[in-house]
Amino acid sequence: MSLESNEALLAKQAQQGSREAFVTLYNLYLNRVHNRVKSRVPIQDVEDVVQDIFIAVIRSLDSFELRSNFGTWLYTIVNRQIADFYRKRYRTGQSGDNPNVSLDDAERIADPVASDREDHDERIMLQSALHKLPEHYQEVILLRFADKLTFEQIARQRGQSLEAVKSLHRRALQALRTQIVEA
Amino acid sequence: MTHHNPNLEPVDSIDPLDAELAAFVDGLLRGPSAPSIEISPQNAELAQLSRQVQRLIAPDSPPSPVFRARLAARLDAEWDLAQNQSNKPKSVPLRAGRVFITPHTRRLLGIAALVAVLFAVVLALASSSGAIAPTATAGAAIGTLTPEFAIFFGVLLAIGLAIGLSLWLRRRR
Repeated sequence: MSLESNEALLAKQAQQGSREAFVTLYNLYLNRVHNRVKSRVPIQDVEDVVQDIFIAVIRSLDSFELRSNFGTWLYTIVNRQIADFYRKRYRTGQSGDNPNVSLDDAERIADPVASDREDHDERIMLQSALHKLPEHYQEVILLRFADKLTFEQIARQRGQSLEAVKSLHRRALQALRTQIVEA
Repeated sequence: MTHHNPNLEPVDSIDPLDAELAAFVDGLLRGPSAPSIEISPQNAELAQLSRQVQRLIAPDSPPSPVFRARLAARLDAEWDLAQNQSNKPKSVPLRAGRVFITPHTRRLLGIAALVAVLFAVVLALASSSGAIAPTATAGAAIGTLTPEFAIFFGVLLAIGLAIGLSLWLRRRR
């Protein structure tokens, strides 16, 4: 049985009320979701957003269709929750000029050590640049770095050749560099 | 060989720079024990950027045990809540009890209340004034008019009036 169909089966069991099936899926995806969120929201908000994501998964589990890929369905929820997070911040006026990543984030965390501050600034800059990339570029970077899928696995998941994925990966990094230079 | 990707950007046969950068990232994510990859100058900046991205996403810092415990507890509660909600019987419409009070029934009730009120009024007036001498049958039915009997009629009258009034008001709405 393929990984995808095994996950879909677990999702179906969870829909029918199996807590064990849900816990298996949760353990399978917690680190990946955590990594994805970490790459997209300020570090102090990561845990809240991760929690909101899994609560949303439980609440909308019935809407998962067996023929879909569970990972794709889950990442749709991840993206929606991250978008919600920034929407809320934007409404409450915490976002400054940039609705994606605010420089306030850098100020809110008082880093006494200069190198920590530099790391933090680099993080804000990279997050902001990553946000501005077209979705397929963001996706290939996140699949490789956050989900740690191999290029072969990414190729299978996206229905592309290995060469195409490696090329997409390099173009995505080039686009990221361009964003950083322009920022 | 030409591949077409969904992003409408044709990819010609494997570019050595694509393969080199991919191999570099593979090594980077495998950790410091992985053999180092020789990087060409064209890929040097992208390799450096890959390191930054890896640091940003930092796969080596999974969620803390404290957070895991807190999240597990919260999700347990949420799971129980969701299960309780899905096991609940389909909710009964709030006004289902009223389904038996059709407009026709309401009209009949209204008439019955009105008749009861009129009957009570007439009976009370007739008995207290003595204008109508009770026949043998009526006398047997009513009996002697005592204060208790008058109170009973008064209560009946009040109930009848209340029912009639409420039905009338409801019909006006």
